[in-house]
Amino acid sequence: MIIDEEGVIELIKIIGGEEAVKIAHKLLKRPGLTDDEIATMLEMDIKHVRKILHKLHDLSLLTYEMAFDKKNNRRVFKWRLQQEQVIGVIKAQLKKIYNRLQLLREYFNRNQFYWCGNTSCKKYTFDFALDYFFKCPSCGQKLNYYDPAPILSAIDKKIMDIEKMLG
Amino acid sequence: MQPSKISKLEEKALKLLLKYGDKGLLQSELWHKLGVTSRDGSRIAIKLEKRGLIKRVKEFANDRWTRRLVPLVKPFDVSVLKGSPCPSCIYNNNCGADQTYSPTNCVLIENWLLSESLDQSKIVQINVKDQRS
Repeated sequence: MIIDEEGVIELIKIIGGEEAVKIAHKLLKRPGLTDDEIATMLEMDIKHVRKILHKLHDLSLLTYEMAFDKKNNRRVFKWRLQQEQVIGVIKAQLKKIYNRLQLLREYFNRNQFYWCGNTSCKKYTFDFALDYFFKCPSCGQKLNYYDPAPILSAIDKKIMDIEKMLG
Repeated sequence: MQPSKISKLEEKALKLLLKYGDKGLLQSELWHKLGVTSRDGSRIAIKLEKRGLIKRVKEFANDRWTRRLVPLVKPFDVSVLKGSPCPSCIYNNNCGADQTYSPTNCVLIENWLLSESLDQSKIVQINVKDQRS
């Protein structure tokens, strides 16, 4: 398996959104930029830049070198992308999602569900719905029977896709 | 010894070959597409073969013996992750069986799965319409 630059950018977009993509483009062009430099170049808030950098660093997509800025008497962090880690990151994320989907499949197979129809509200099991007198605790609307067939088939499809990817 | 980093031209050649999949491409066609001489092209192919990224298969084509370049690697497709709320979720590391958070309580993952299946059914419907017209 191999991943090109576009794949790396796509992954970064999934993780950090468009702003992370802008940062990644800068780091691909000029590895070793500091957070200050990135914020100035992109005219972004430095705190927001750092937040994105740390998010990507948590997933091992970025690495940094620490240097001492004698002029300002402080430490600076020079960031670079770790392209060789990308496939590992994707596989780790896919494994996590795969386990979650297995859990969800079991949950939707085992229980009977009631739902208010509001996409921001969850589907409640029969026991839970009974406790709340078939009224959604989030929006207050009536809870109706929910057929889990569409979500189960979606879960199965996704599981198959991930199995193909993970080999 | 650590292998040296793949050059831009080698990357471009590999990208092109990956488009053709298992069929591969005759080396002369690849040189033509890349705009390089056969000498430079052969060097690229040999380098890629040494790295185990392609294989060079002998073939008789256009009245002469040549090599077909077949990629040995597959492109990693990140589209499976597209739209997934998990990688960017703050609970990503604490969500799962026997953990603090459970995906069974997550509306985002349900919506992601359902929206994907809706998109798929739309595609199927469009295809059916196309066939009818």
